[in-house]
Amino acid sequence: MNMDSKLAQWEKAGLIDAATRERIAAFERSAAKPILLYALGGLGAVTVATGIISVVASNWDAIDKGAKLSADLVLGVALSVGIYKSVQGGQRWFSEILAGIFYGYVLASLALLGQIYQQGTPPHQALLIWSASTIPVMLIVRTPLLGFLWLAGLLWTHIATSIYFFENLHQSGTAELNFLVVSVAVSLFVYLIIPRIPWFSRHRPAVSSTWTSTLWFILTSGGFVSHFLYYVAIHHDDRPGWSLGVVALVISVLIAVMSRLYPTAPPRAILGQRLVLGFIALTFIVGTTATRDAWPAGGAVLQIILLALTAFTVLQLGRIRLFNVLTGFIALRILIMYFEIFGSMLGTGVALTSGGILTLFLAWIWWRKSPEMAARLGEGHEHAT
Amino acid sequence: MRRSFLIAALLLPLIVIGLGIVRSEIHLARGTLWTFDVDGYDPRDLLRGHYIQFRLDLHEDSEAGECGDDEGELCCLCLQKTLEAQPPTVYRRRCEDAKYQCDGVLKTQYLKTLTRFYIPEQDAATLEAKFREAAQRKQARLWVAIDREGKPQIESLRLDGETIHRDEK
Repeated sequence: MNMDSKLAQWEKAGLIDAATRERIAAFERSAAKPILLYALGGLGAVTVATGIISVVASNWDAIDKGAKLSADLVLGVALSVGIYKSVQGGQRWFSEILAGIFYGYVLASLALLGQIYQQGTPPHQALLIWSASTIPVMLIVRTPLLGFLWLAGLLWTHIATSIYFFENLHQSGTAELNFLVVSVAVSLFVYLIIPRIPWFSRHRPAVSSTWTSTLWFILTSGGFVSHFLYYVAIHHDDRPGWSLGVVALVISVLIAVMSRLYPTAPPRAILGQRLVLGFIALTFIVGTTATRDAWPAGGAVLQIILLALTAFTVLQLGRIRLFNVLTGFIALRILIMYFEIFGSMLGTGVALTSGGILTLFLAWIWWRKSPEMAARLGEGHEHAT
Repeated sequence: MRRSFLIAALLLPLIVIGLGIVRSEIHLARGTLWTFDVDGYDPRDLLRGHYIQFRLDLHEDSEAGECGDDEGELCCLCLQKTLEAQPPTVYRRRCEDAKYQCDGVLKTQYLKTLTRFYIPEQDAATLEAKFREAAQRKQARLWVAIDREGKPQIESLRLDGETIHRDEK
């Protein structure tokens, strides 16, 4: 929205006078953050960090070991001094950029050690050292882009470590499945809690918000994918067993503490988040508890219900664009469902008839509810994250 | 942000990197050098760049072996010296016995770390060809520094007696 033209319209319509218009314009100018500057800076930091890693990965040959290591340490000290001075001097933009570069530099340095000393250790070890040693310094960052970069690094480390762990577990298939399910459930718990730690959400609101949004996106995407379980038959050996109890416990705790995790979210948004989380857990548990045949139609319907619950939640959070995207996905999923269940003439006919009725019913609901929805959207709900 | 926390946060990664250098240098300086025949091929690693992937050709005396891979970290390679700069005689012993019976000990759990050698990007193709030729003639040798705990660290890869990481020496 162009603020100046809007203010001009309001003044012309007699809603505000010239003095009020001037005060609003001055307030907006002072409150405006240099978003482009931060975005470009963040992108620059990510690019430089990637460049350093790439140069190291090329294992350049022209410089001897001592010089390489010395240059690496000098660069590290220079970056540290730069970060220290910019933080102390209150130059937030510089400290963000340098912290982003420093984050990449540490990973590149560990890779350099791996090259020079021909360390055949599995990559997850270097990633673990990188992630652990950079946690304090990454607490400096405040922007969404670098917050996302940090989360991506942590998730990369987590996934690489988990893969190594499961490859070397040497347990029976069912035991491995149980460990995997517990690992995902506990990880989910930890990842959803961390960005809602009061210090984190109070002092690093943009990073906390980015983490929260990203993790809920991963959670709902994972839930959506998990419904493909219904596309295959579950045999006796495929059932996880005791770990489903852990999933139920973890999800119950998360549902119970949801309003504490998101204290500023509207109650209906909290309800939506609880429904999404509970629905994903319940459909996973039901789908894997007993042996059963494949049930693709059920999986497809569950996916549509999950998308609808997610759309309801984002609507309550005031995320209108996301809501529109999700409704588009629901329509697309229904369309794909028609093609999935094409089979015999009878099956196709029944599917198309019932699917068409469902679509018409949804459209009718939409039409009936749209004035109410429009009124609600106009209220401008508070964002939860 | 408190000044002391900021300094500690910035120093921590640098200390970790420094300790990594010191640990590796100590290992190379104090470990005993052994050489092994190798054979392999060349892929690349997104994080650490080009490397030659190889397999150690241990010429293991399997009949003399007392333990297997299923015993994990309890099983060691017992290394007995042969001629100067030649691969040792190798057979498996339980680690607790190997310490007293062998000239050198290599824990089998670390064998999977001896599978790649990082090379400069611009020389990757040349070195790969050189490596393949040398390996066919049994002239590709990996030199490994092994410490008293039986942990290895690659010292160099030598093709036809020539160290391919010339700048590292």
